[in-house]
Amino acid sequence: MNKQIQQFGKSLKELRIKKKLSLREVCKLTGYDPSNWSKVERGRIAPPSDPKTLAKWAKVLGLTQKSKSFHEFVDHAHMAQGIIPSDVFANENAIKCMPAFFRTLRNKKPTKEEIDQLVELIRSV
Amino acid sequence: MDFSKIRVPFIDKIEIEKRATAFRQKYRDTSIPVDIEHIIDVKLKVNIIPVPDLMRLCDTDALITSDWGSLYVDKRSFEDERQQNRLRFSFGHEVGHYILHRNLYSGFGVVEFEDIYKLIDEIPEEQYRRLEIQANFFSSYLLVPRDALLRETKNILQQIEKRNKLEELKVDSDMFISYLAIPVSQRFGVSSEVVEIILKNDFLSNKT
Repeated sequence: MNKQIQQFGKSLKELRIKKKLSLREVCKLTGYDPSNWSKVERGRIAPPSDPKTLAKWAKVLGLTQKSKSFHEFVDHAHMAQGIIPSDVFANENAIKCMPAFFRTLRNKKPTKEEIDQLVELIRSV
Repeated sequence: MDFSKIRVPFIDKIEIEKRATAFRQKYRDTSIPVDIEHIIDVKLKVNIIPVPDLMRLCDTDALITSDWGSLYVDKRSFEDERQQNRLRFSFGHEVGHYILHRNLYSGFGVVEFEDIYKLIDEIPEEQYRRLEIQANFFSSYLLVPRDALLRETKNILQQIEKRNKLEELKVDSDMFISYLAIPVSQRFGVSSEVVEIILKNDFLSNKT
């Protein structure tokens, strides 16, 4: 079931990259929150269900209304609705989501508390 | 692995500059300011993930994941226009880790969460600092190509000379460099402090 969310997110990112739009640019054009857009691309949340929002996204991503690719985009978004995304930490690849290096404002190693906080933050995004 | 025995190889400035220049050329970015966010996001296809409260809770504005596939960034910094210069430098810094330290990190053998805590706890502070300093230098060379800096600095000096202000400013060299760093830094999209450090440390004294 989760595959549908993952697949939609992957396609969404591919379309954005194909249009050479950065996350910042696509969110500016669609008026969507960048954290949430990133979550949709990574399959962390389901895409929006509102037809107007999806139509706006499709337009920004260069999909012509009433074209086959437009309908596929909307259909795949609907198929990904109501699915509960998997916990990113519930699989063996969770370590990959963790930082290689930290740049703290102090230019020093992070404390254990800061790493704990970071684990919680990463779990939430 | 005994992380306390980690020794980060010394990489000199010439080598770091060479690798920053090669990276910029590889992604065909001749624009100034260098559009590092676009390179990371669109060309490298690394996920940029804005995280609420990353700065407040973890005292950090950006970090790259161990699979080098995602870059977490403080959401407020990402959205605040006033933070863009610092953010761009942080992006360059994380790319610096990717280019300079990717192989080193894979040798650490971090496979479990406990390894991360152990690594951070045990790696000697001066070795950790060396990683950070190298990444900072990489970002500096990436975002402020020195040939472009030379041209831009000369242009601005000429403009100042036209207004007959050069001599009075040269009286205090520190103040002069600070004065010069502001318009130059705006051209490169970095903070004036970054340009000031470059001008003071390895530029004006050698090349002009």
